[in-house]
Amino acid sequence: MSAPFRIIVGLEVHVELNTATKMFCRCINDPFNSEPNTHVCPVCLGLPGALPTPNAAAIRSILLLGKALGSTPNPLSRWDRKHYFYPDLPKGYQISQLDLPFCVGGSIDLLADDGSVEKTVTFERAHLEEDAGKLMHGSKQGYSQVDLNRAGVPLVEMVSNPDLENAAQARKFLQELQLLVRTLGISDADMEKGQMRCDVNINVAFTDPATGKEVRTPITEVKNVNSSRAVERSIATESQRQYDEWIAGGPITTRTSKITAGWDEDKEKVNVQRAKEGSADYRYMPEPDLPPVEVFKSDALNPDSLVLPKLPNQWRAELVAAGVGMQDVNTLLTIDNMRLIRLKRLEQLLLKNPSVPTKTIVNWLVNAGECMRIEDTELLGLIALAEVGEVSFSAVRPKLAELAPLLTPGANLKDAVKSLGLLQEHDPAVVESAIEAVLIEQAQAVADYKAGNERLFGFLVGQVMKRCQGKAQPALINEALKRALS
Amino acid sequence: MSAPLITLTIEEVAAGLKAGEFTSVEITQAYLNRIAELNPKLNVYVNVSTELALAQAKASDERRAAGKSLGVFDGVPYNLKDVYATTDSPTTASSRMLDGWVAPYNATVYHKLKSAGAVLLGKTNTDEFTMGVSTETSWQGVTRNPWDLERVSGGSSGGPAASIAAQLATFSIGTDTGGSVRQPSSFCGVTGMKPTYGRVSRWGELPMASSLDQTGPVTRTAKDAALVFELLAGRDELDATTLDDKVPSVDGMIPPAGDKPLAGMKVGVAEEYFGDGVQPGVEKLIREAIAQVERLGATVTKVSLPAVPHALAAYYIIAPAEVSSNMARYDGIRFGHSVERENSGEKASLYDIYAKSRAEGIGTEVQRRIMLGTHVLSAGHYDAYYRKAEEVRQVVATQFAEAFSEVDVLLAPVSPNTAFKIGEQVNDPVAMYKEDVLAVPANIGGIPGISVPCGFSNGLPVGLQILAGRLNEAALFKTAIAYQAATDFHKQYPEVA
Repeated sequence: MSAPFRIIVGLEVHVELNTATKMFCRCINDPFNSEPNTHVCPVCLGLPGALPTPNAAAIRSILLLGKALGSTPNPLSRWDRKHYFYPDLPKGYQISQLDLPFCVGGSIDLLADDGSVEKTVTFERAHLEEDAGKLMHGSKQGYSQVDLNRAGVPLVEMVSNPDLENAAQARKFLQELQLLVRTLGISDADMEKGQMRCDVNINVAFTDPATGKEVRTPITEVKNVNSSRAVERSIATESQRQYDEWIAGGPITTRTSKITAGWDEDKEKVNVQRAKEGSADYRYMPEPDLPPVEVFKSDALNPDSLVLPKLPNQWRAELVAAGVGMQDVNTLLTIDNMRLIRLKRLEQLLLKNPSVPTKTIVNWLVNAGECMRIEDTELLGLIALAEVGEVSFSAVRPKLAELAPLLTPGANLKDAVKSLGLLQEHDPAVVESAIEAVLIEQAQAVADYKAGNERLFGFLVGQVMKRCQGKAQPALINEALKRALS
Repeated sequence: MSAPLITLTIEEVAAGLKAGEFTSVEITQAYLNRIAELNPKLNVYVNVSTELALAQAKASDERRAAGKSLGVFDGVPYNLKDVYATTDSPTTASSRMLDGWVAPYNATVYHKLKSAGAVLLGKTNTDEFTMGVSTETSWQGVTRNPWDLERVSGGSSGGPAASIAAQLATFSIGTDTGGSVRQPSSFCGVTGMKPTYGRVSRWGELPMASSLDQTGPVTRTAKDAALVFELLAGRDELDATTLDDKVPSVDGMIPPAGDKPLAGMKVGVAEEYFGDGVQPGVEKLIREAIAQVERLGATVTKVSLPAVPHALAAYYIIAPAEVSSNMARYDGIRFGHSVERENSGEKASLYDIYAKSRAEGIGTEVQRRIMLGTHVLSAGHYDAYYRKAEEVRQVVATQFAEAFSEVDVLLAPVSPNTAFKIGEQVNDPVAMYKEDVLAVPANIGGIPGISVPCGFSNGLPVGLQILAGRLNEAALFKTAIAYQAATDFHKQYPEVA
């Protein structure tokens, strides 16, 4: 079903960086595992006379992100103050960046299952700022309490252009960004912990049935959409709501400015009743306590000297070229909570033994996850056994949890496999007699096979195996059966 | 040595302590006694840290006895303007908002002085959060001018300047955002200096306008000011705006002996500094001082600085903008005056806590500047005000740079007038703002300047302003030291009865 309107969506994505220390002081950046207000100092408490000093590691992180997105690093970046009063903002302003952010432009490709580019989403910018503290409600009667451990944590804001065309695409985009920052190792980007947060800008375009004219609704900025599911839901509901309000001749038909509204996670809807019209006046001004940053003039920051790891789309291209299916590639990229643990293992195993086909190792990593518990040398040995048929992949797979502890470094692989009854025995005489019996028993199938129904070969192999009762290796059965049928 | 201890310069105190003529405890006690006697009359100190001072003095004497003196400053008593964070005495910026506040950390300025062994007598008065030209905006009341108790001591560093004029410390540390060290030094007949922006760390200095604020010494002599400058200047990792440039040594600033110590030096005079509003008595003394400098061997030439008269307008946009931002943290939530804490039990909404705490804790002049700054930064006004002001700032800096490619120093008045009467201008904020007109260009241009006493007009001191190019404090000090060697205006002190 296609909607009678076109969805126009842009995302503002905030990501907390995982630097050791905060953005403008050297307090520990660890807001989640500490007692409230233990990682604080005069700077992040906003005490009178305290001054910010930028964290070079955080600047390198955003420049690395910019490089991955193909954005242009600003030769001169500036810090600005964004003012508003709120108890979680100790200075009464947030140090952010207005018109000279660290990274300008850039894009990310969303790939289809065949590896082709399904959608390119472009960025306006990415800038660095500091996070605010956290309000805690309910523990003291009549008051809210403030935890400033998070105040001053480095935050990257990525602003996409309004390129996204539907809810599912926006969700995919957000997940791809999450994968990217994790691949770069600059953020844990855990949305449940608020390490990745999202504001969604939504409007719709359509031909007004009343006038026949093409119209665009004013934008709704939906704040605090903090899960990929919520991003998808908010776009779906808000776009429909805007269209319905227009068709009903509601206030949206005369409003020109955008509104800002919250996302109600429980009700799964945009809180339009409490929306604010127009944009807040943050009275931005250049941050006088911090000189502008000229990244190309700094050895520690020069974007040209930053080295990117292999990015998700590069992985996809390489693995698909090596014959791995896109589904398996995406599983590899995302399976361990997008932390690329199996991909790194794949790389390591291929480095140790380049002669094993990539596809084979991927099969083990994706479909026999417990193999991750086995050391490289032993795992490669096990894979080799399976390749020659001395063990069967399908027999080993459910037993990996038992097998892994036996495969200590230096242990005899065959003994270990044998002790669990997984070593495929092979008695050519048993195979021969089994084949003889099957050829007689399944005369019709044999005839059909010989008449050209090659699919029956597998069936016949199965019949032979059944008769061998585990005393034969599949590869050798194949050979023997082929000989017998020729 | 027979001169009373309270009249000595830093150099003389250092020599006396070294020679064992007196102890740090003795000179500290001498100042504490005089403060106890005169402070009720003058209102110079907003807090006196008697115990701390005596403890620091005793420790200094013990170091010296053990042969471990820390150098020139060890045992020398001084005071800080009430804007430096110190863990061992209150810091209030002379504001009700911070009444009784003790910082949990030390300003770099204090850390350096403490590490050099200097003895902190207490904190001295300032206009509230340094916003004013007379200390009349201080929540602690006005500091009276030791030369005439009916008159202001200038501001905002009125406390520091009066403390030197009234001999209540050997030296003092002030801040200069738009003349706040130089103008009160001129009004009180003492030496006050503002370094190049970025020379002295602002870490722990309660800010007024961060891009203009700069710490400077108030002293009895230019040589003393040079010593303090040398101690305090230098890159500080805690202040990203401090400069890496090498700090010139005092030794290199001493003019050669003889009657032409300034031979080869080029001195500029810009008529923009002698416009309408400069009192004839002041102008006469400045022209005489220029002639004196010429007699010392310098060549005097005219230079043109057409943008200088616009610096004041730019200042009163940039400074309030930064003020409105820097003052935002005083919200009555975490520290400072809070209606919620003071009237516990009475429930207040978050907005009320903000609004009422700020209304009660912050005085009228600071509120005025917060409003001005909030206005000029508002959407739709930023380009018309702030951006324009920044452009003016660039032009002023460029014109100074051009002028200082031709001359080593500029000579000018510090203030168009001598100290005015208390209360005379309190209801005329624009008149107050105009007091800064000749001092502000140095802040807008980021260049160093010093005020040295150059005579008396109707019995009130007048300061000669010596300005130098960015980072060229050496030329400024050399001129000032030579001038003071040839004159004795800086040696005159009021009888405080």
